[in-house]
Amino acid sequence: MIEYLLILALLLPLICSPLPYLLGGKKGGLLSFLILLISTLSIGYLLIQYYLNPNREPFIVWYNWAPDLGLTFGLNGDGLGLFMSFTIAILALALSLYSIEYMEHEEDVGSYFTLYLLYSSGMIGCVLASDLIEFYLFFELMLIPSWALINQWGTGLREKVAFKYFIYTHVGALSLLIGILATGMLYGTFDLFRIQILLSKQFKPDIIISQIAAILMLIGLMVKLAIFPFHTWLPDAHAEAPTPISALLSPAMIGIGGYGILRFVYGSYPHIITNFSSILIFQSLFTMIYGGLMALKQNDLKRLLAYSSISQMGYILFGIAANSPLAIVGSMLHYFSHATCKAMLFMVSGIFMHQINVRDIDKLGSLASKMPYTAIAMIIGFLGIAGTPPFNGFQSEWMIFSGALIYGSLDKQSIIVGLALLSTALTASYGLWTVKRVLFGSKYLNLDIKEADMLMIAPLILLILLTTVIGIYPQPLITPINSIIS
Amino acid sequence: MILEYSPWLCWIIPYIGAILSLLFNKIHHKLRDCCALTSSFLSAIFSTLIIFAYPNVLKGEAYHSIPTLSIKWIDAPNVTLKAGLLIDPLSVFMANVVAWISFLIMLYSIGYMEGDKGIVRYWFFMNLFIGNMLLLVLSDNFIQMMFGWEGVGLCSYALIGYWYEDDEKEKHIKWVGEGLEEYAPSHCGMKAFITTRIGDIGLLLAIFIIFSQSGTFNIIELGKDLNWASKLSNMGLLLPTALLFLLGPIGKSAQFPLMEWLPDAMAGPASVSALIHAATMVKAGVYLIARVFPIFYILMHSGFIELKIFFMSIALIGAITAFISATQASVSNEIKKVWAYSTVSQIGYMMLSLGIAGYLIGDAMIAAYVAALFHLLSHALFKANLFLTSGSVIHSCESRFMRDMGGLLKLMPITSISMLIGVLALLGIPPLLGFWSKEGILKAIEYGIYEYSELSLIFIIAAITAIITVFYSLRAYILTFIKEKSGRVKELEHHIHEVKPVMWIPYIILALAIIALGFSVPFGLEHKLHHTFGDMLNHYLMKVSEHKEVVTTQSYLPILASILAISIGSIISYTIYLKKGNNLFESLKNKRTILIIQKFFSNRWYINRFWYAITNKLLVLSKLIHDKFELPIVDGFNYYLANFVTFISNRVRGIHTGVLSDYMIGATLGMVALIIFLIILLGG
Repeated sequence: MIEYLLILALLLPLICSPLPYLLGGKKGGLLSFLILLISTLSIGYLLIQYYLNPNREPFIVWYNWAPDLGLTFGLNGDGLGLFMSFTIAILALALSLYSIEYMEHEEDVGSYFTLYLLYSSGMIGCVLASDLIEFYLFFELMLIPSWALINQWGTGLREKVAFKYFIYTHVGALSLLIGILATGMLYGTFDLFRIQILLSKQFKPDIIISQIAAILMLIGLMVKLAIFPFHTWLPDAHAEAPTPISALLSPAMIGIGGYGILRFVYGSYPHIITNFSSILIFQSLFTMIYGGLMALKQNDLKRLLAYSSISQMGYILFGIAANSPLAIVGSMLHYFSHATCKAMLFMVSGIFMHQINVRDIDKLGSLASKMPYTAIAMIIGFLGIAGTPPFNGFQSEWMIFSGALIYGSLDKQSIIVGLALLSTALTASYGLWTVKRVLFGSKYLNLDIKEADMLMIAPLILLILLTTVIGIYPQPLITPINSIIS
Repeated sequence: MILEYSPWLCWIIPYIGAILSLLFNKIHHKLRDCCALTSSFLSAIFSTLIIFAYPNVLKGEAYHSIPTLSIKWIDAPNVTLKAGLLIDPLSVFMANVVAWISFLIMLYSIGYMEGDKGIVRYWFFMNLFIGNMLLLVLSDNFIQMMFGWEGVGLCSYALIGYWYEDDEKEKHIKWVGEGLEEYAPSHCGMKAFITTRIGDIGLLLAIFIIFSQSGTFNIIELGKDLNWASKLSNMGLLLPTALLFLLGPIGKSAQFPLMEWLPDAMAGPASVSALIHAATMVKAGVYLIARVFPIFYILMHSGFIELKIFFMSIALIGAITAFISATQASVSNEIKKVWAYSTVSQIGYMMLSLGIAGYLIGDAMIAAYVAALFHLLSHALFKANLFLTSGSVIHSCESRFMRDMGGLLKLMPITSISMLIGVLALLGIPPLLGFWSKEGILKAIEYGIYEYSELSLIFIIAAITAIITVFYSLRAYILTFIKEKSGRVKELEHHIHEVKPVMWIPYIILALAIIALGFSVPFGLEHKLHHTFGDMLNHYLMKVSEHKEVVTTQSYLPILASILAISIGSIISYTIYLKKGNNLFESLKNKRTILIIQKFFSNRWYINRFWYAITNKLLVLSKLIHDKFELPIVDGFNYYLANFVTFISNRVRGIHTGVLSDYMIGATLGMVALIIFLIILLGG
């Protein structure tokens, strides 16, 4: 029974995806919510099982897919895979509820939810994949529906932005594909488990080709992760996508780049990747500060959040590149922290767009008393990504930064970590400054503005609870993440 | 049984109270207020019960990592963290000061905040504030302490910016500052959070560096096994780490140069100011230094001489801050701001004393250490009193400016007497508590001079600051209560009356405590503190010489300095503000040098402007990079590439003429070229 839960969680949204199109409208939305609820619950159940079972046995499902080509279809439900897919599933769940209300007045909502389900299962598949080709397929599966979603229901110059997004990330994906193919040639298999067995048998692939393959895969994933200078697709896409999709793009999807680097690039080339770690650290540090500085200047709330995401992705890469177990755990936990907080923030900006039809910061103001729940969510969201306890951002950030100091020469590392910490102050600055401009003051106190519908507030409350509970007691997530360390 | 858990209950109850008061609000507003107050009261009770549960605390013993006090928390690679509490004289002392004074402030709030529309939020954050501060002082490891540390920052953000609507019509009550430095509450909350956060960068970095060498965040373990320090010292990082560590307390306790947030924190309600200044938040920095003092002290005295600079920095920063803020207080026009500058200045004294303690040995060290904590206690009492009384005055006059006050002595007798006691304690009139604690600090500096004569400079600064302290506190009192009534007071005269008992009872209790404790000093209060803390320090310091009797041989220099300061200060403020037909004042008032100095002081030594200039530069830089680099170059590259491809395709498109003969010519030419190529290839 248990072994089917994982495949159920992945395939149910995929198989059922045409249904919302057929049902259309609100019903389709509710159905997608139910489907995602089943997915979330089954992954959540496995996660709890994993956490409670002292043996920490991974749930791995494995099928022969195309044996002649050496392809397998596996679902890697070890702790990390479960953790990642749980994060994605719960975000997708919360946002599907939110979408029902948010997309109410849009056309063709049925197809929206069809694409939404495809997109969600693409992301879940990505983090569960155990085979490089399988990973690539799911990687593209999340790209195409998201492109269609931006193209169809976006705002502003949506077609142009969607095109830019597609081309940019697709070129990245191609780079990843070449890297993956080269890896397959080197090891004679695309299966990560087999690669690891080979590696443990002191198998030494050709150094030069390995390096090229690793670099190509890294570049492909860094495009997705939006690390400087590959980030330019992100501000446009995040700003113009329909808000629930921004809230999935930013926290859930781009972070998969970091997961991919950890799982597949580090997994295939553990001996080579360390050569690049100083470059990666420098790049991620630069991205952190650069993203923060750019966010400071933005007037469009969603664009600000987009740059903030770029900055936060810097933390994730930083943790991975720091190459110490504690930092890696922190960095994966940061995926979760950023996911909850940034999703919250995008939802808040969506509520502003939905209720007032404005997202320019200078046209907003004094909303705290009009929209108390939204205001609380916004403040918690920003404090969370700035790493303020008791929200989960603090837990992940202290792990990343103290982990980064454990190995390597301390004086150099401490300067780097000092700069990285400076960027948390930068985060707090743009966050609280935005909060002040949007929520406080008495500029628009007389306007008649109402708090959003309960359907939009409920997901926010769910995320606030998650943020706080994990912020205080992160162990249920740390234990699963630990599985990657061995 | 339950007693053993009193340290946990002490800090958890305010959290529960905070959440319950949100829920009870739905039922009845009285129930909500009651819940908020009760939880604060219970927490105070439990803070005292700790002493009964762990009686050896009074003998200077420390309880830690015993089963009742620690639980498993985080188990990650490279680190296993236990959530634990540390019960020793320092933490119990702090917990009691925090919890009891907070309770009095909460009681006052019942009257002061009555009818405010954000009251639910107020109770929630006040209780959270208390809980966080108690967590901070009771934690036995840095990560858990950070929950409290950042938590008080978060609560101060919420409470300083409590009147977040920034109502322009109520500027004279709810804003802070004048002219260029006039700020709205929401701005001040943000400023407080970000400024302290900048200090925290240093603190966190230092904690992480220490962790990377020691593998632990636990404070007791850090003090026991000092290997980490020698590793750091070999890399030349021990002193930088110590100085980075210092940044946290500098930010939190508003010391130079990160002190600018505190005066502006006055935008919050007076009760919040009292809480921030007397019991929570700014005392956290002093506490943290006192907490790690034994660790750095052992290190310095076991051969890591470079840490002398660490202690010297604490002392110097304290002295500089004390002086700068005292001068600012002497020209401030707002009553709460006078007390705010005064807090910064008094905390400077505490830092100074702790810094000097690092230089001393044996009993003198203990005396200096205790002086800082003793001053913390007395400052907590009189500053809470001063803020609460000022709150009542502002409440009645509906203005935060002292120029709108005056002549309130008869209108508000209880408040005026109560504030008088606070003021007298602040300026150190014997036998009030403030006298003893300030004398203790001066004595500590004097001990320091015996060791290092360079410290006499610091003694002079401290003495001058004492004079200025006397001047500004009397000035504030005179302008508020004694001087002739201002226009506003005359206008409102019939509405101004003594405040409700629920408001004056708390500050009367505080005033009585100042007097009572002051009288008990000669009967052994300070002696008792000295013993307890002395035992604690000896316990932590292990090697350092065991406890000796309190030094009784002392010169009369500190007392002389105190008394001189009081007389000079009061003469100056008397001649300027009270003496009738005062030609001296009139002639001085228009002197250019005086005006320039006054302007310099009231512009806050331009430190505030300096920080704002830097912030603005950062914004300009951000805009510059965005407009000149991000958009045209980084993002522009995509479009250049796209345009380039379009350009090429346009050029190539020209040969697609659609005429068959053109294509035939092309095909033939291509064929010929191919043949030639093959011939060359094969022939070669």
